[in-house]
Amino acid sequence: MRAVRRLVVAVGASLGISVLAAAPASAHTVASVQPTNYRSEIVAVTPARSGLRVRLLDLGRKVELRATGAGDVVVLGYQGEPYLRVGPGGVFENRRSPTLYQNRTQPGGGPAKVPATADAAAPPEWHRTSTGRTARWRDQRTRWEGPDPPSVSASPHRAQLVVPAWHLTLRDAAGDVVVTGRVLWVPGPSPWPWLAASVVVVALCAGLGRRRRWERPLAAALAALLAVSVVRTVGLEAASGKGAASVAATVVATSLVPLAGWIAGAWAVAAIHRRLENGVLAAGVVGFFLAVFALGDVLTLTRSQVQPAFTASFSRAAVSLTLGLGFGLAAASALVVRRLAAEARAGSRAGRRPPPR
Amino acid sequence: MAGAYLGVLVLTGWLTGRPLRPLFDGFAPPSPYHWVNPPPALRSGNVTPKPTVLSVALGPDGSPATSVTSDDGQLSLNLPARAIPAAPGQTTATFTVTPVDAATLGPLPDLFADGNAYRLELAYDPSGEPLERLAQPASVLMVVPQPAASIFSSADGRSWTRRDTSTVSNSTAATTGADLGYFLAGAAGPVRAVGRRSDIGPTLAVVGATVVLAVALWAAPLLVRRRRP
Repeated sequence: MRAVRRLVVAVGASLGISVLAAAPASAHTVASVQPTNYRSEIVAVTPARSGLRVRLLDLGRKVELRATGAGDVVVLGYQGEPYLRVGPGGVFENRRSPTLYQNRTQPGGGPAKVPATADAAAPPEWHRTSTGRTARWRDQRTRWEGPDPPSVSASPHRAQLVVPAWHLTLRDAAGDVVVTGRVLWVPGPSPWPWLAASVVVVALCAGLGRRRRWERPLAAALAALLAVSVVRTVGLEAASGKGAASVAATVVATSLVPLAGWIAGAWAVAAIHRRLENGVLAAGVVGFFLAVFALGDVLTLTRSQVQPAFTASFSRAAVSLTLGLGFGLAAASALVVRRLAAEARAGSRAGRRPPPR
Repeated sequence: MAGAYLGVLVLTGWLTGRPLRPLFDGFAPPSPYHWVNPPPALRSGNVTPKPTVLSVALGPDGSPATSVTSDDGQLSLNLPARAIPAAPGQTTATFTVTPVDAATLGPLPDLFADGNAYRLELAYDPSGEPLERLAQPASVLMVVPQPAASIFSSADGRSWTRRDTSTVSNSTAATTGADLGYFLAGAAGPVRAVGRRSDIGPTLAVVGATVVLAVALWAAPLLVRRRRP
């Protein structure tokens, strides 16, 4: 019973940690951009310019502009004022542009205040933010926010055009370049097959705790959970348009809680192979903790537009598997720990040494 | 996606020794094309597009940079500044975009009609005088039910001129020009049904990488233990 109490305490502690570590509500969930049924897409960049590439990131919440031509390209803000500048000298932001502040969020959420110095009609005050040739910014024109429009409320199961055309204007020495896009409502898939898969995996995984030789299958289930979690997290960061080094740095910096889980899990895999009780305990805690973390991403199963962890299908499968493997491991660990405790009691009655922890 | 499930099922089946069935819910549907006259297989749920009328204010230099989009969003015309020249006494110009059943027009040379045709008409206000051409070339974007080989234009809807066409995506084609009149995309084959976009190939690659990582995580402690004296 002592070992089971330890497991319960550990699981409770991991739940507390995951709750405390959760960020305030924002456009991002625990691990990714909030899934949605609104699909934003670019349909044209006219006139075409060599050395100019525009794409949407984070399901249309961000725009990426890469300008590798000889001259500067200026992004116009919400009032038509110079907002960003990208060129040979790097990326610059106009400190007088109201758009600059309207696109910022305060720590803890909510839009940032626009200072009195911001004036769309004022001459630009450029401030370099990067020496690169790529600018990324949040843009309110390229996405749908707020309540559903009446047409969607009336027919939520029908794909439909919500914003026929949005426009971003870029300006270079040769004139204006207009980026045209649109926003569509695409109904989400049914979550039930995925949740059913999670339940099946929970049952199968929990069943491992009843096997006589539980070490290798339990270690395999934990290794699978860790691999899915690592690949998904890396895939989500890669989807934000970052390079490999930046992805690695971001994962380490922003995924500290999952990172701790991965390290503990890797140790637990080795410990389970050696039948160590603490390894089983750690597997249960890591599994429970990663599954609770994945609950924050359950909208991935119900929305049509999800931040792809390399692909959208893998995102959905990863959430489903993490829930199933994670909660299943927690259950299996409890069963194994209980059995080990019983074996230890039986061994002590027979005068044998207790197994290593 | 099926590969992802099968990978998990093989693993769990091997671990538990039980027979398992895969579950799969498919992919998010693409947005449906809005037909004036849909093929029989696509009649269910079709939304018939309506004509669009849009006014563009004229300044001393003519029209500003703007765009005109059809009611169904399947045709967009992006106009550079001064595409519509200023004219004495004219304050606005009115675009009318009318979706047209392609079967009522002349056949395309060598290709099949890819979706609706669209008739673009432009007239000054208040005189009502029509314009046949723009003063500056504009870009025409057409959303199509299947990948387009070319966009064609026609003044009368009978004889068609093939235009230089760029493919923006599988569902969007673009061309540039100053002509108005009828526009119609052509495809290599007749339209049947919109195919579902699949990401099975990349997903299988990611699943493969995940399985390799899982096996490495699982086997590494065993290999380390074996190498130790």
